[in-house]
Amino acid sequence: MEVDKGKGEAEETRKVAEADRDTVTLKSSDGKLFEVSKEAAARLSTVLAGMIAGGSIDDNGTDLKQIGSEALENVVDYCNKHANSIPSAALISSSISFNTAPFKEPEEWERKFVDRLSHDALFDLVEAANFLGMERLLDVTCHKISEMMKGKSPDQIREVFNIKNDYTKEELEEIRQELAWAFYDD
Amino acid sequence: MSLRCLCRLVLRALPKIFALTLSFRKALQTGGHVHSPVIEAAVLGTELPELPVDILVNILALLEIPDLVRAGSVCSSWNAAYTSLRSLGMYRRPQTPCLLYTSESDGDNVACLYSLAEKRVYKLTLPEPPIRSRSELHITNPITGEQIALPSVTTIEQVKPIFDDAGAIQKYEFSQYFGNEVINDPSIHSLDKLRDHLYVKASVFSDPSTKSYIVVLIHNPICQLSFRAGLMVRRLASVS
Repeated sequence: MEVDKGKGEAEETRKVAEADRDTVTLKSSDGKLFEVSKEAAARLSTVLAGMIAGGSIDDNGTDLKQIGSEALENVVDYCNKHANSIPSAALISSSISFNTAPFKEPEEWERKFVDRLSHDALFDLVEAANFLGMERLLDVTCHKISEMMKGKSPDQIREVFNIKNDYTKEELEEIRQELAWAFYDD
Repeated sequence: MSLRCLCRLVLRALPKIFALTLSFRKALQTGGHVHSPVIEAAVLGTELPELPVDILVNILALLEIPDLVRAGSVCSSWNAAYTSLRSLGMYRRPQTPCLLYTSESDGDNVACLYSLAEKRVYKLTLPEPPIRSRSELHITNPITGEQIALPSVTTIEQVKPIFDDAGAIQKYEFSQYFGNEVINDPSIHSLDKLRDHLYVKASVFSDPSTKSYIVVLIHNPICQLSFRAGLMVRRLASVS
């Protein structure tokens, strides 16, 4: 779809034109443009919903300087897939309040969606979801990352996530004594 | 109190107790984004970018408690996320039930926590005094070993201590009356046996207004109800 030349035109005309469109254009930190259904964006992202309602959507591409093109492509892909899937009523209601609703297991397509991502892409996507206030996408990506910790010893988790053990010897000993019960023999 | 009652009671309260207890160590790092040391490494392609603490809290909130404890101990920034999650107590998922039990072969100070999710047993060290040797009640968090002693059993009006020559409690005298009605003759019980005759059931409730717990105790004779919170013991009514 051709992107309207909004700049230079009267503000009123632009707003009317914008209201008529059923997509919004998003611009990644590296300048790539992505189109996403306005309805899905407003429903899945509290931040985009606020921008759409407040008229701060730029037809030439709304700048999302914090999000790289790969992560934004995944965000848009998720919105499109979500728009195609039949959203359950429960899913919609869970996207209203932040972080307090009980977690709902990912659906099959959501699982597949995050499973194909590399670690880097997954971590970028979780941050993008957090930035855009996409409750459900945040849940699905956080769930995927939490699965990577399951049943692993602290050493194994450090290995998977490339984390440096930055405790002093004394701190480590203190933790070991208090939490020895939960440690696998590592 | 029967072991089964204790198990049920502890299990029902476990996530809450766990959530409300103080951190197992000083918070190593205050909140906010903890990027700095890892960004260079990420550029070099050797490490994943470090997650902001708020996202990490969201992730940890989806774990079973044993996984959470392990994940919370991998480094100081994860520990900070773990500590704030615990103080907030905002778990997003119901915990898979665990079976808590003791067995004579493991010794008096060991409780076994069987995780249904992982199909494995964790052995927890319980604080003193040994669980089997007493009739005094405690609220114990088996995960952290924290323990609150409830008002002494001798504050129940039917229970009187019998002291030895040195002034230590040797046995209990249990008078079986209710109001003016005597049900049975008083009986004498050793320190570890009174509970078998006295306790029927106990339930724990948290009291957010005072950040403490209230224990409602059903005890003999004829299933009387006591409320135990702090130092206050009050018999309310009888249930039959």
